[in-house]
Amino acid sequence: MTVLAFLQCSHRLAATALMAGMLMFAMPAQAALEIDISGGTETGVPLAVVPFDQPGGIDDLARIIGDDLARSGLFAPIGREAMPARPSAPDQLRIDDWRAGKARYLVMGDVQRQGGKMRVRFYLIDVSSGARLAGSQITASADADRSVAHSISDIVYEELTGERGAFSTRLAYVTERGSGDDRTYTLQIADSDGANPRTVLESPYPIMSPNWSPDGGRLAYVSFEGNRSAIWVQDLSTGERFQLTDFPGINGAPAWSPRGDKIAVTLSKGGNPDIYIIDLDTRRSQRLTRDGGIDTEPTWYPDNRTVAFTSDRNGQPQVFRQAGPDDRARRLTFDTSYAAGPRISPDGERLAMVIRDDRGFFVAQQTLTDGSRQLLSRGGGEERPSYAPNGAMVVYAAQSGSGSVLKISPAIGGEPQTLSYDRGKVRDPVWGPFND
Amino acid sequence: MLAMMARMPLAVTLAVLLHLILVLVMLFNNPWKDDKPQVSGEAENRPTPSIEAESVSSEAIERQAQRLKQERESREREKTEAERAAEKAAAARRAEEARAEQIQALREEREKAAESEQKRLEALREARAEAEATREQAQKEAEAARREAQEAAERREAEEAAAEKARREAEERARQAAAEKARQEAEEKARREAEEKARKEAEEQARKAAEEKARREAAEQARKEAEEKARQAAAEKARREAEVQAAREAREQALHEQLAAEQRQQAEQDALQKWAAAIQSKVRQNWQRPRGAKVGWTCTVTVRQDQDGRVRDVTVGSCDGDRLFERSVVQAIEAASPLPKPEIDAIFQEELRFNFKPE
Repeated sequence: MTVLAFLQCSHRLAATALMAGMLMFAMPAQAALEIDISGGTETGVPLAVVPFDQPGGIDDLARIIGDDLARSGLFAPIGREAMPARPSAPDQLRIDDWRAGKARYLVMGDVQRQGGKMRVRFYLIDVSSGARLAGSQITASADADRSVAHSISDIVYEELTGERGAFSTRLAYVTERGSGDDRTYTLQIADSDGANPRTVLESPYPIMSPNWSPDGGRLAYVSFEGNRSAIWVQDLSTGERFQLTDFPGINGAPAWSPRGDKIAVTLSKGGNPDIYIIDLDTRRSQRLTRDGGIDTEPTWYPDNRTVAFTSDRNGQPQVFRQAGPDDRARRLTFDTSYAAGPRISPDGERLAMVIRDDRGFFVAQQTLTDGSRQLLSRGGGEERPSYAPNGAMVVYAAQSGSGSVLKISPAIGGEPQTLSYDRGKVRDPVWGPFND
Repeated sequence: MLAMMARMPLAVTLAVLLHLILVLVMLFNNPWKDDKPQVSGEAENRPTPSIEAESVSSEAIERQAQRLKQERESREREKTEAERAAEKAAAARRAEEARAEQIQALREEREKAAESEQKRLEALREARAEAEATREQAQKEAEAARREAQEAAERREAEEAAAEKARREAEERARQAAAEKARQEAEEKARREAEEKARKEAEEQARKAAEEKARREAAEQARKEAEEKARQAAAEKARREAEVQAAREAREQALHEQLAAEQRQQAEQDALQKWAAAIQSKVRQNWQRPRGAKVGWTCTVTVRQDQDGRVRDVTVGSCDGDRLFERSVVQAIEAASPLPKPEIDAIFQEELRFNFKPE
């Protein structure tokens, strides 16, 4: 575990000096002392998001930022009661007050409202060195307070991790309310923290498997309007939509390719469910899989060509991948009797899916390079994981009492965060792309 | 004089008588009275006493000698008579002195009588004086001859005596010289012998001394050589012992130093271990390793600290973790500042290297 490594040349030097009859031992060993540090405390990085100096009528920006960062699992915002002071600008900051505390970073700022707009200034401070790592001023409409907060979260996240933050992205999901014959299904879009949900489609028919176009401007989904499944594509800004497929049998699980030029779907027009690739320009479909089992839930690799999917061709649902119609399907999941609902991470290195063990269904993540796998959820009733565009978080649906909720787990593992709850059942969440 | 009187009583008597007459004459008649006051031309006027000896003939001399012989005989008689008369005169003088006044008176009477007589006497006296002078001259000459003869005889005697004396002296000298020579020779011989003996003795002495000296010197030399040899041997021995001692001490010193060095090195190694462990502990306590750090990630950082352990500079070398991981590493070190100090200042190193690994 812990090894003290000294370069041996100091010893040899001494021995040589001895042989030469010289006394050189008063000299310090010239070899640099090397110290290995391992272990340490694995923790979210303690960080203080000091309540902003802000007027009333605006959401608590510091709270939003802190929650964002906490959701990533990388940061552990300290409680406000643990803060020695409430500075909002560098000239108010006495860094020595903070050095004694846990927080290694400090975020502070203020908000000035100017009519219907607001100007937000914020600073990111490295408590250890006292250095200002980031700081900027954002001007926005007064009602965009949460967006401003998420933007600040993204900046802080990217400054500290080097990775792009995904807090200013959106989620899409389906809700189901009612029971019996009186059921209402909605297609919802919300902020990455579940706030600001809005309905883009409401239907008495089931809505399933929404999927974002890579530019974030459209959603493809399955609707059972008319009691038969069809794949629809809806423009989010205009609300216009069209039916992509309505083949006999199953039309399900649309998945936009990374470049946005294709959509993989599950069709049973050939007899049993197989994966097909639909070219959006020509609307022509190409059959990807051709076997006797059920092949469904396609997900794209970053190469825009390879697709992973669930197949029970071996008897039990497992995850396979296949690059093109002529490619042979290769199994990705082992050591589990059930692996379904796969999602390839944006970087193509990981696979999120639902596996079942004797305790239930869990969201798991498998590293594709070595096949290692870890559970990301805790409950046992989770389904449909989806990666944030930066791959740092996974959103999924989890049973909660009689209903279900959305939860987000850090992709590195860690405590899941439950998003704001809308009554009823929440299903099929999918994380939208960056708002470029 | 006495001897002359004894030998020539006549002459002496005559002389005395003559003198007496002269005295009488002078008493009553001052014949040289007139000469005295004359002041002019004393030499011219003074009558030159003429000595006519050279003109005296041998006949005259014969006659004179005859006469002188007669006179001498008469004088001898007169002398005898004078002697007797002198004896009578001596007795009579006392009576005479008593009748001096009578005489005086008489004398004056006689002087008058004598006046006439004077003249006649004068002449006579002159004649007589001349005779007397001649006689005296002869007498003187005789006397001189006699004296000469006598002196010659005396001289001869003296010469003979001198010769004798010289001869004796010469003999004596010769004798003395011979004796002296003999003595000298003897002395010389003795001296030479003595010298020879002394020389021989000296030589012998010198030889012995030389031998003694040589012997002593040889002994001294031998002693010195022996001493030198002993000294050298001792020195050599001491040197070798010193070398051995020095070598042993050097060896012991080297061992001591080696031991001390090893102990010091060991102590420094131990201190280094403890120091490294203390730093490691403190940094690890301050390392809040971000979640999601993957096995295999490694961050190597170089840290410069001051003597008080305060971190001055953190330089991230290679780091294959993400940025948050890298930041956590830097923060761990900064949060651990000041770093623990070593127990031994000598092992302090300004620069440290850390390898951060998640596992």
